[in-house]
Amino acid sequence: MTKRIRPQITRGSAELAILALLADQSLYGFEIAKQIGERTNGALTFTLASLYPLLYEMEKRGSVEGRWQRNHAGRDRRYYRLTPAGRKQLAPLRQEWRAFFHALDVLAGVSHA
Amino acid sequence: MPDWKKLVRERLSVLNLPPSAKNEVIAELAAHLEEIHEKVRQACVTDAAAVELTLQEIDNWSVLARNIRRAKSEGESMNYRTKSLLWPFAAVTWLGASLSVMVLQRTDRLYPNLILFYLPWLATLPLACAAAAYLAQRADPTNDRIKRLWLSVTVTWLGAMLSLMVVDRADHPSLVLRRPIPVTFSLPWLATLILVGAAGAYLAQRADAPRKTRLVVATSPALLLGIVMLLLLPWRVTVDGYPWAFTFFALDVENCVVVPGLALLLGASPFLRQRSANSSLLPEDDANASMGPTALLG
Repeated sequence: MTKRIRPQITRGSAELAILALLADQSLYGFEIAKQIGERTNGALTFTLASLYPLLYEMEKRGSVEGRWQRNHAGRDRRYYRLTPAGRKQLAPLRQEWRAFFHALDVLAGVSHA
Repeated sequence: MPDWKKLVRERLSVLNLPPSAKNEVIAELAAHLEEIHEKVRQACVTDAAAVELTLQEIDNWSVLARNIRRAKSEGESMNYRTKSLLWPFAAVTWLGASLSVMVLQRTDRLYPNLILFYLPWLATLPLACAAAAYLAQRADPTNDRIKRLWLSVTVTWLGAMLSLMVVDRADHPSLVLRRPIPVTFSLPWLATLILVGAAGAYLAQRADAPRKTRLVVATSPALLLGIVMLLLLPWRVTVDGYPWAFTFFALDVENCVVVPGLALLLGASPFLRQRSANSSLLPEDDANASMGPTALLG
């Protein structure tokens, strides 16, 4: 039986992008925005104004945590990393998006593969 | 190299967070802008042009400040609505009802059977609306509802009151409804209410208020008067006794709420047609907060 897609899935798209990125490494805000842009060839972009409110909300919910560290250039940056709770969220969120794309594919021939 | 912390601090002055949290946000955003600036600087001839381009990363600092504050505050969604809408609304009705009782207790019924009997109420309620605007402003200086709702409502109320005061001082054609208790409507007053309703809806529209907010603003004199009359009903029962209090109440609702409300609505109607991008009473950044595929791809 196909898993039902919750209405909030659209909101989860931005969260998924961040969670997936932070699953591999700790990054600070600028790097998160930069890597999302680079990895998707500019198809997905985050501005400062859209990124930080979401990061702060995810931090408040306990999905990520931020910590000031020196970067490779010796500058203080606030690095974000996944918390255990955030790591737990990632798998079901990925599953929901697969179901979402599958549903779109069935309806409109939009394949995510 | 510009002082990015200083630039961000100046622009985020309205960010209402504890000092330590605010400083951390400012430092983080400044670091982000610094990195963007370095990239832009390589492509720009002058540093000033690079700074300007970097600052274009943020369209609206007030919206950013509000989104950050809400993202960082516990239960902020409910608090925001309570502070910017429900609490001011409660203040309007409570203050309006209290002041009305105080004024009415010291005023004879100078205009029996006339709509002008409610002049004291009309004089006191704009004060209550101004208090609501102040409360909404104090809750959040970046609050969209100040211009969209509370200031527009206050202006509408003042317009309705002033028009009534002017009309009260002159002979004018009247519309008399003859029923068990005759009721006289001042035609110039009803005509000015059309203009007042139009002005209120226009102001709200100019502040990018959604359609239902424009409707509430334009008809606010009638709506608030109706609410205050309802709150005063128990007091009237003690003064006029049963069943007269209810009879007068029904007549007053018709005369002071329904008929003026229709005049206000008529004036507002041209400004109610255009649909706003923001379809709720909530501020526009609520919609922006939902960053789904469209926002990401946008």
